[in-house]
Amino acid sequence: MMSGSSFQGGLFSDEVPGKRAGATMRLGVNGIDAETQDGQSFSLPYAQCRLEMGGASGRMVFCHSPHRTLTLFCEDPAFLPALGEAGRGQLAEQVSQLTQEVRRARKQSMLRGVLGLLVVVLIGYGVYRGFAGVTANSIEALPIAIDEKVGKLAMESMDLEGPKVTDPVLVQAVDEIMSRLKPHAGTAGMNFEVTIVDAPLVNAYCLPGGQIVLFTGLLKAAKSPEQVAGVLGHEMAHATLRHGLKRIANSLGVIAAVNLLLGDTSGLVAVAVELAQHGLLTRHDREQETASDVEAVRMMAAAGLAPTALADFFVIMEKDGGDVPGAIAWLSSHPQLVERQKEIRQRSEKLGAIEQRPFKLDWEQVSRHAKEPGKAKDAKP
Amino acid sequence: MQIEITNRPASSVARIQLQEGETVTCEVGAMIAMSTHLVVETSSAKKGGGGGFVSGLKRLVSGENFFLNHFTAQAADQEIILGPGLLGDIARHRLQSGHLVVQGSSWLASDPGIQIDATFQGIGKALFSGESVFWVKCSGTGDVLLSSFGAIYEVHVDGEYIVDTGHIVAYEDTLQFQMDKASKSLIGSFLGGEGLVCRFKGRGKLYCQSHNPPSFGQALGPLLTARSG
Repeated sequence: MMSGSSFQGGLFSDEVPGKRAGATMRLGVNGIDAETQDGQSFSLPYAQCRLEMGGASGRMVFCHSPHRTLTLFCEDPAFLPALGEAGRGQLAEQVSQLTQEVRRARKQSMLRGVLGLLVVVLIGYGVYRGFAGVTANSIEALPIAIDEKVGKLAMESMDLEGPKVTDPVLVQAVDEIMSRLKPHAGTAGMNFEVTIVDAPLVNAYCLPGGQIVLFTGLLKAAKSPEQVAGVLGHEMAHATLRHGLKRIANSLGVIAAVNLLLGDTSGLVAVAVELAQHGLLTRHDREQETASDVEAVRMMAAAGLAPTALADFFVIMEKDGGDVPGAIAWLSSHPQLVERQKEIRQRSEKLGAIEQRPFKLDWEQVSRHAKEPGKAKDAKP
Repeated sequence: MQIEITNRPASSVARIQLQEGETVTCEVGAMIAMSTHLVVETSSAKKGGGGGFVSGLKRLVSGENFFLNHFTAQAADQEIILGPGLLGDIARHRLQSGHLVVQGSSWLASDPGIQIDATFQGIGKALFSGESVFWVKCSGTGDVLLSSFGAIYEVHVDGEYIVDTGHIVAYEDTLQFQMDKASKSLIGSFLGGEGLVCRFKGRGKLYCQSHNPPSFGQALGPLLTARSG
């Protein structure tokens, strides 16, 4: 913008070479005076001026003479408001209309932009889901031997965070719980193996293929063997639903989908070891946790155990989480406890009355041994 | 600076005469031949400063090169011959006011006083115009040399004008274009092979190219034999 009411712009006229020239415009009393860089002068009275918006930016103001023999244009944002005030408001109505049009056009443009972005996001999401679906289906088609290979390698590369427990009381208690659950696992032929680790962590996790790690901290925190059965059923479901492999495949993304379709699983194994080393292999999303809860409820009911025991364990974690040492491990890897409890109880109710066959384990003894594995006085089961 | 464009339209070259101290700024790799008393300076900024790293990045996203070559004559009557990468035409546009919007890769050379920048044309145009997401914006005063794939034809638009996607070379800032259907029916537009078109409105110069590289590639691709080994 020039000083006062002068603006830099241009003009179209048959009288200038090339029919277009840059010009300096001044808003006078009766009209717009334009002077080209070559010194040619033009004048357009306000009374004859027809305004229009356009140009590459959409923000250029055009002032046309009748029959369009002269057109002045300017992209300065201050030009349009100045035109509204110039010449005792002769162009005020046109300026007002154009301003409204500009606002409307901006809104429409913004709306189109947002819609366009939304479409791009939706297409991207669709493609992502499509590949996720391809990946999931490819995982389902893989033999269990792949899960076992991945699980074994992951187990070897992971830090167990404590010594393995051989206390016969604990080993036999866990074996009894597992023997009740195994016949009802969703996938036949999967070799479940539980490793009890002496650590205060209130946690358990399952690697692909059925390698389960159970910490003594969880055995201490659980109030009954049914609650431990609920947790182990949940972890077994992660294996039978092949959540670990799907987690790895998702980390590989599109490449995994293509490789799996081609039958190449070497990438899966490499990523499994990488994820296991960073403690990410046993982290599952909300969808996978819910699916495992649902499967655990089914397995518990089939095994003659009250499925609500899993929800009861969640209550302990939720209420006493702050007081139970190491509970944060379970809470961090198993979020949304309140909603999940509600869902487990609702699904249990739908199953109706179950003929329950509670465990005949001495749980107080198990708890004592969990506090000091191999050292408790009543070490005999 | 005197510019002569020869061998039009299929194998055009720009023969530029420079007097001592005069400079021409051009796309990296555009020089075909030159006199011995020309020195070249490569930078991301325009000659004499201005722009720099950010401008270089903008040019890069618009399909041009990060760097610019500035050829300066050290003696009288020096000559440089410039040409585009693909077979095609060269057009000269005299920029006196406002700016010229150029599709990515069609800017070939310009006076050192011309600022080369990038501008975003909006998501819709980016997706459907058949051109780059970002366009080159030339502003200042001086000559701009435009290159194309195939022949360039110049249109003086006054009102509305339609160009097929992928055929725009450059247009003046007083023109505006929107994506539109080639015919009233969207299905008819696609069945007729035209699909979407660019509908220009306003008044100003528009430069179009007779061919576009993607169509040429699509036609040529199936005829090429697979590379062995």
